[in-house]
Amino acid sequence: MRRRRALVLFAAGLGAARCAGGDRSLADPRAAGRIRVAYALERPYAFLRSDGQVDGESTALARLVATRLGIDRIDWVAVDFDKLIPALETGRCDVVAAGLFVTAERARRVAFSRPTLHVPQGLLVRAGNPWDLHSYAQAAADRRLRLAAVADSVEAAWLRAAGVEEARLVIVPDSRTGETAVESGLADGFALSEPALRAALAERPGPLQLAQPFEQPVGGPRLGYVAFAFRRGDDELLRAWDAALGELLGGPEHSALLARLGLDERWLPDRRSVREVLE
Amino acid sequence: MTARNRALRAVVFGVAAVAGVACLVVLALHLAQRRALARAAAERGELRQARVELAHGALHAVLGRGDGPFDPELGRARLAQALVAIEESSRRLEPAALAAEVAADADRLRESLVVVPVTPDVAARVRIGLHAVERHALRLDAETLQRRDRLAARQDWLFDWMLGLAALALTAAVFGELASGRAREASERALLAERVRLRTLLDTLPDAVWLKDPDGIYRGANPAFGRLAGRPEAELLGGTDFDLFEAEQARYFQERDRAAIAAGGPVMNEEWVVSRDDGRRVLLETIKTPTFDGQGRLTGVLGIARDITARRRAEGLVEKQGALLARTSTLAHVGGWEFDVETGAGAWTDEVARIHDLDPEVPTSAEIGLGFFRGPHRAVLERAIREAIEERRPYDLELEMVSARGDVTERRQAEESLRRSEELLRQLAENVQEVFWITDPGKRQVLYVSPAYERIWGRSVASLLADPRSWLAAVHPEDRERVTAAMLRQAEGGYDEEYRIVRPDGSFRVIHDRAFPVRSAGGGLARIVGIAEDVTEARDALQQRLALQEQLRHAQKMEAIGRLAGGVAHDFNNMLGVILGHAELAQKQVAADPGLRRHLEQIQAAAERSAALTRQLLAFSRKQTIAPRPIDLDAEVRRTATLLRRVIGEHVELELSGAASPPWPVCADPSQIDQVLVNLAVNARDAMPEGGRLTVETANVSLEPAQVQQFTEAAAGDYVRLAVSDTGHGMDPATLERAFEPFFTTKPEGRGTGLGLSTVYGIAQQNGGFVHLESAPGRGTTVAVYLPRLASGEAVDAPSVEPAAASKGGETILLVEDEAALRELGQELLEDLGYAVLAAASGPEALALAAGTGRPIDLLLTDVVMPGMNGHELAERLREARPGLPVLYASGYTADAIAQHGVLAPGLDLIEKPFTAAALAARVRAALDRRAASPLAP
Repeated sequence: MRRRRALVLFAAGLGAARCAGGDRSLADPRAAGRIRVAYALERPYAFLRSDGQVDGESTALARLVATRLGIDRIDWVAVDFDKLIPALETGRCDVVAAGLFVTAERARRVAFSRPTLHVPQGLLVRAGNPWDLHSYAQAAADRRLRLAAVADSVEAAWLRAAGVEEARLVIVPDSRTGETAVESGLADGFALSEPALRAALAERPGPLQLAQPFEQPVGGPRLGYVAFAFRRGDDELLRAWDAALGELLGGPEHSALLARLGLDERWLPDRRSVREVLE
Repeated sequence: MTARNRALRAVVFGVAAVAGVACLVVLALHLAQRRALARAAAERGELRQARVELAHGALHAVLGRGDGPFDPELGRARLAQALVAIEESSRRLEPAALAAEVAADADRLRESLVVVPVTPDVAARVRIGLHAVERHALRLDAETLQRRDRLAARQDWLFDWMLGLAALALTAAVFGELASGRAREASERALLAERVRLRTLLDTLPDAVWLKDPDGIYRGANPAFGRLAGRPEAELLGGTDFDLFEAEQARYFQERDRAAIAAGGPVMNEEWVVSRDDGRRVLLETIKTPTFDGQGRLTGVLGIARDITARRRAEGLVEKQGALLARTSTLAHVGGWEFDVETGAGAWTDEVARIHDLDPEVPTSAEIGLGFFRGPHRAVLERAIREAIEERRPYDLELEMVSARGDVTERRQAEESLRRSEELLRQLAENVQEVFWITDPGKRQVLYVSPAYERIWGRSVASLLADPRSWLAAVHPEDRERVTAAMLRQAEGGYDEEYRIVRPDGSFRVIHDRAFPVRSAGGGLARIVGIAEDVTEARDALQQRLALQEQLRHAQKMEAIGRLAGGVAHDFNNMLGVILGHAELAQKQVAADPGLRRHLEQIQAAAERSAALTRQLLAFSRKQTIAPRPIDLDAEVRRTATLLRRVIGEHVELELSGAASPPWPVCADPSQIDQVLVNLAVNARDAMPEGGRLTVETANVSLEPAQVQQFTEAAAGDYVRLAVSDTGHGMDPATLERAFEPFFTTKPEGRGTGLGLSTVYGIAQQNGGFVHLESAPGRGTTVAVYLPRLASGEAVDAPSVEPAAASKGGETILLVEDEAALRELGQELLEDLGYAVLAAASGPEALALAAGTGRPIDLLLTDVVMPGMNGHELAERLREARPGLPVLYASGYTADAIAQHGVLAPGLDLIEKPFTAAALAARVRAALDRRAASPLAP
């Protein structure tokens, strides 16, 4: 009898503790009026304008969402692409807005918002496509070629899965280094999402081009769904963010944003939820 | 300190040691953890420093131009330094492959750094290389941190457990110490109490006790010794024998001490000492014992001295007297003996042993002593001894004794005789019908059981001998408790029980078992013997006899009731006749007054109802006049069905069930069968107020002599059974017992007369049959009437039924009636019809009247039962002078005078009392007319 009573008290205590230390992921930023958002430079998802302001599909959309949630100020945290998820895990930021693709492996470490874009993959090659490349699989199969990919990117994972050895893989910290690697001959191709590569080409006219026509990779993970990432357990924030996204996506503000960044309306996501994407 | 205490202390020390070890381990762990943490912190610090160097080095290497604040050489040097530090760090960690990877990336970065000028591809290489090394550094940092955390967690775990263990052990040690302290205190208290007891013992001991050390110095003494030495014991201590006793005495004492020491054990001696207390010379019996310590070293001599002066004197006296007595008895040839009653062990004087020609040195016993007496002498002696023991009566006998040497032949003869008598007894036991058994007094062993046991119990003798409890196990469970209790009385005698046993085949036997204790010569219980007898058949016969007696009693009771009812009915009928007759006469006279006429009609109706009642009573008492004829009971039942349906009403279903084979004929009065059926149907209806089923069935039944026992008042033979069953509430045994009694009813007041079943009973009896009732509460009732089968050829003439011919006439009628009122009424009725009437009050009066009158007498109308001469005798006498004189008997009930068991002899005319005027007119006319038609008529 006494033991049972003790158990009940213990459970009640746990409940109280949980309530006291409950999910304050939305309440705290709202109270403070500011939220920390991490990004990694990669056009068109996140980049710095000439005036130093952060811009891009993910970052500008994050700003719109934050405003809707009643959070006026964003503390931007710039990190390398491969440090985005660690930054979230170690508490350096609250949201990742960096054109992060939804993958099962990442979903084990972070929680994704609903997708904001669904983009195709691309391959950057030197002008004239000297190796006549038209798919990742083709590039992976040719053992003479060295291929670049951003560290911890979906493309890097895909290439490894396709059998590209580490010696043939040029892991770069960011898009810009990838472009340079191809341009300088350090790599023969740079695998990245098509919008990112198009944005890079627009920014840097030169001896580079997209491999055209390009066959989308199949058989691997479902690629190309771009979403915001959150700490696992920050459910309140995620719910509110998704709700705000639901109102924004496909709306006039969003359309204007896409148009400004030169993003095609085709790349708007279908109605798939994160769970469906992962299945 | 007790063993428990010692064990406790050992545990306490053990636990404390564990606590100490645990504390030391905790300390060691603590130090180890501090060292490990410090080392991990140092490693992390180096790694962080290397990362800073990496960033600074890259800055200098990229921005340095030789003339600016950034120096490319310094940058390369710092980068190289950082790379070495990161490589070293990677080598400290597992797995080794990681270190190789780090080294490869570091080398690639080093190579790209030495290329000048910095072209875009070199920049890309540097960027990629730096990124790779940075990733490694970050990973190493995380790994180092994790390793530190793992180490700390493991040590924390050990630390916690060790700390807990130490705390537990210390707590246990403290409690153990407390417990052991308490135990020590208790043992000290016990020791003190023990010491006090010992001191008290020594102080109160009348013997002198002292202790001397090896040098002969007194170290302890008790007050008794103080008295002997003539000073308080405290003053004795520290002194020697020479300080206390005369020199010669002291020397003697010390010499004895040395003797005890030399012997190494107790030494006893007797010594005369002069008591210093009162100056008396006393003989002391002294025991001196050397004492030793645990290691076997001599510690002193313990002495105990007892004053035996008086005892020694008494012993001397006894010895002298004993010798004197022995001499005296030898001279007188007289001896004495003594035996223990319980054990039989004994002793006798040498003289008695000599008389018996036995060695006085050999111990004797009662058995040996008695062995010298044989036959009647032995019996006389045994009785005398027994009486001496039980009644404390001394005996004085002269007996013949056999000598110890000459008794062999006699003994052989005695043994042979014993064997023969045992054989005889055995043959007897084994041939009697009863079971003869012998057990030990404790009922643990069956010593003997005769073979009849196997026949009665159905079990083997061997099985009983092997397991004496099987005797009780065979007893019927309902009797077992009683028998078990009674068996305890077997040893006292008076065990006489009757019980049932269950044989292995499941059948019961009734056993009459008696037991008697057998006592030994000493009076103790030696055996229990018993006789068990199978009384099953005797018991059954007794029960049958009791049942028959019960049946007889019942029959006698019914007979008595019947006689009573019959007698009452007879008188009632007479009176009812008067009432009915006068009512009829009065009605004729008051035809004009309707009010009065109505009253008379009521009187008549009531009288008729009463007459019906008396008829039923008569039926019960078998005094109803009947006219039996051969009938088919089945057909009779079917004929009555319509009437029965009306009686039982609509809510009761009637089921008729005929015999499978054609029913045997029976001889009965059909109107009585109707009465039986109606009476039973009414009872059944009343038993089923909620409705139900009434079944009437007939069947041929042959009763064997063995079967008739279950029926009261039945005889073996062929019967037709008429059974009336209902599905009503049934009867309990008490009601069943009295069901046939007249006026016994269970129905509410006014609903029943209590004559229904009585009538059925009477009718069955009158027809030579019997009734059997079966009923139980809630199970309905079946009344079965058994009527004897009519043997073929046996026929009973059916009395002709006369048509009513109520006409008047002018003949002369001799009316004989002892009841004056009836006589007058009859006379009036007959005269009313135009007849001439000669009325007489008795047989003799009638004879006189007949003789005296000159007129012819056409008809004799006479009562049957009359004091003096009955109606039948009168008729016989009158017919002597007037052969063929018609006679009409009037009777309330039939008497043997005219009917055998109520059955009217053929050719006899009888009018039942009470009768109506119309009936009388009709019957008188018919009797007269029959005479006219008869050729015998005069």
